[in-house]
Amino acid sequence: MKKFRIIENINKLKEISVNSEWINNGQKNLQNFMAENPVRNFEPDRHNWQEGIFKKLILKPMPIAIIAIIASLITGSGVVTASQNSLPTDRLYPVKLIMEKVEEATTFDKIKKVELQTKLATNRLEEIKQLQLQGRATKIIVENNLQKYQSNLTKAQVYLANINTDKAISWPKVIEVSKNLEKDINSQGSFIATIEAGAPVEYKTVLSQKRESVLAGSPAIPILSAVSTVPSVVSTVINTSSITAETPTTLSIPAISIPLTVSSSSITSDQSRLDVISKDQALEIAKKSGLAKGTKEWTAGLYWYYGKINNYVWAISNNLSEFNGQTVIINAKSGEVYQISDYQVINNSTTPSVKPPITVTPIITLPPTQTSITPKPDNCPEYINCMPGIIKTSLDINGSGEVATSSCQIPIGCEKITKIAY
Amino acid sequence: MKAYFQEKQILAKINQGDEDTFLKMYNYYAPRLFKHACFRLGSREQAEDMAQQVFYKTWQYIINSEHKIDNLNAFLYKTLNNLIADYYRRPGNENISLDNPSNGLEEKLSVEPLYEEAIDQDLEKNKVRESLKQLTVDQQKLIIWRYFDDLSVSEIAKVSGKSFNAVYVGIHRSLKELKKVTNEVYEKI
Repeated sequence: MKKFRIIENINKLKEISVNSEWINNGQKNLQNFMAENPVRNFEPDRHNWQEGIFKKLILKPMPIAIIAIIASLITGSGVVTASQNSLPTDRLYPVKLIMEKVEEATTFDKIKKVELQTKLATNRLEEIKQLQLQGRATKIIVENNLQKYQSNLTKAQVYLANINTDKAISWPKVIEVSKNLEKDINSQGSFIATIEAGAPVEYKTVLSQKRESVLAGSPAIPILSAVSTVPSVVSTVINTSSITAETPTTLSIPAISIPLTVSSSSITSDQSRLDVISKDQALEIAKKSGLAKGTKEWTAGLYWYYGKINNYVWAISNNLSEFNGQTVIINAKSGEVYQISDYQVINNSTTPSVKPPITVTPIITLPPTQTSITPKPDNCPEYINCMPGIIKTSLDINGSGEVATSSCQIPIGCEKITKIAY
Repeated sequence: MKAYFQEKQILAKINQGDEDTFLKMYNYYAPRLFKHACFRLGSREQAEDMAQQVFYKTWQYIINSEHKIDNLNAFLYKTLNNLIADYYRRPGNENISLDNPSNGLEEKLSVEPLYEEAIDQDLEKNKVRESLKQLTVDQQKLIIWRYFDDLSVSEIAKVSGKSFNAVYVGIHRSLKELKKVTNEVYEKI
């Protein structure tokens, strides 16, 4: 028998009947299985096929070199340079995007990756502005660019979160980068505002939504938790409370999101380096400020407060019942009391065998200022500061007394103009 | 080139955990994997069970692993190959031994209606199957992957963990051997 006859016959062996019922049942089972085991939904963390292709190509220098030589012979390297100023809808714009992809793929330094993503995010905004000046901006382009902008920003945060300071990068550097990123995000927020000012109605809403999400400080949270994951940067998240690793709790005070799982032993040494008041002093201040004794021992944690304060704070919490309590935020350097707020423990889980995830939601209480002022729409302030100063001293010892509040609400008629800032 | 990018796009979707794409992929691959398992195990039930397991294992890999799948074909067949190897490693499951390659399959030949039908239907086809059993397990695998499952040489290299050249030469030699054995069988007849 000839070889091709043999192969033909092997091919014939494939004729095994498949039970269609088995296929259908299997599909249903697989569907259930996938529903029970969902994929984590963090897009930038998942694999990107484009990056994959670029990395593969980069690992094959010969074809790349040949293509590059041919391309430069035909077009001259001027194309790449010219493309750098191109805008969406331009012919050279894809070249610019490809060059950016190449730059992304060839940047290996983790800190530079963060900086590059921030730069690319700014580029996207610049493009919108240029298009607007030339009167070529359309809703689709603006939306696309804003989406890319957001994705670059998220990537920057993910890269920052993945930095491991055990290796070559020192923690002050990481903090510096995260601060820079925050600064960039802030300036981008105001940049979007300037674009928004000259934008037509059709995409104005998209811009203002994006600006809100930038200014609301939402990106700051991953930045902070990013820094907090760095082992040696205990300075950022320090917890000396009695809550230890056994409670998988996340305490969220405004603009802070901190896992309470850092062990207390490594922290004490780092605290001295930070030049902050000690835990005992903080507890004493909390006592003076009128924090109720509560049902359990107070818990104290040292945190980096992101936002306008930009400082270390002690958060001392009591337990008024199983479900609520109060938190005092104290400036860890000066000992000044920033705020006393109530928090509620929201229990998400109903199964008692598993330790329930607990979310602590503080309700901000503010001093009594500007309570009944209803300004005219044209008098609307740009921002309302919802970050209180020293809070009410007449706080009831049992926590049941009324706490004075200030208006952290946007005045009537100013909803679209005034923003809340912490 | 278009097909290449389409394939890459599907792969990217699967790597990102797109359930619809994964189900489509199931519909496409499940019969193929079943046939492969059926051919190697000789039991429909076992083959059905194993082909299903391949998809569960693949999904778990997608959601748990930091690495991505870069060749779906190779990945699925490799998973199936490992499952079959595990199956034979378990005590109580007979193995196709190298010394007596006809051992496992020949016994089944007398029991399984699947093969009986085949004998009646096509004598020549059966001769090839008979001859295939005379080869070593590794040679059988190479032939099955190449001509039964239509995997490319590079895919087989990934599945078997051998180099491209080793697989290429291996397939060539296995086919030569198969031809020799088949003709011997013919001569006997």
